[in-house]
Amino acid sequence: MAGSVRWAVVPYAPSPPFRLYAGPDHAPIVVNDVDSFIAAVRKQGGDAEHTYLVSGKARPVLVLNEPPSSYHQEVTALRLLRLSRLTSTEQAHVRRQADELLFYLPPDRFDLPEENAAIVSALVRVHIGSIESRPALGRLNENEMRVLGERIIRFYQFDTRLLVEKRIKELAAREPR
Amino acid sequence: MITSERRDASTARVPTVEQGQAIIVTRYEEEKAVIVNPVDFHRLEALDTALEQLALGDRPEMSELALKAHRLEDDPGEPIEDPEAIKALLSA
Repeated sequence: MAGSVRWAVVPYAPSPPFRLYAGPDHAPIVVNDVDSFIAAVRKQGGDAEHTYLVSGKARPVLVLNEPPSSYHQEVTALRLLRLSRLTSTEQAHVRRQADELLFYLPPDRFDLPEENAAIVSALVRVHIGSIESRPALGRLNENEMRVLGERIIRFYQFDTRLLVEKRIKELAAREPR
Repeated sequence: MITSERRDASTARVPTVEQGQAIIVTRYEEEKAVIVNPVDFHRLEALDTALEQLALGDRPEMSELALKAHRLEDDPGEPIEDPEAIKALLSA
């Protein structure tokens, strides 16, 4: 699944005003302020769950990893940008891979309704039950995944110092050929 | 990151250390300090800086175009909440 483009149902990140489902006979209850809402929930022990009415959209995404286990079935993915929504100059810029945060997906390799680019800074979590089970619409190769991974790590400022140190030590410990 | 402090040789009795060697100063068998040749020290310092840059590379600029991509694709549009429209979509 890693590196493939697939259709999925992807929710938008909830933001105020929150709409809380209040049953079939009642209009949703609107909560405008996050602080007072969280304070009220914490006063009750902090364990209360609600059904939030959150917008979502069936859309293609670029899946970044395999599901971690049969129990933990969530993957990370990137939202895509439709190039038709850009000016022709901007489209050309994306096609040249000239913007580090927009990873171009050539239409001859990705069977999408239109030309797209993955937005490096638009990481989302998706449950695999929300991903279409049909074959992938296209797939990045290993090298492209490495480039994309490096951009994601740099954008989100993940500190990989210990990983790099470990790799250097492994290389240094190798017997000379 | 290694931070360094300069001290004049007359204020401390430090032996000369060859390049590639290190003298580990101990007290009650615990390592207290390590004396290395300046060439080795600067090489280690440079490696440390290089590692820092490699592990924590510069954050890519949030360009105007990337911001536009977020504006276009992150915000929800007008949701379809009409039951008849949803039923029609599912039966198509």
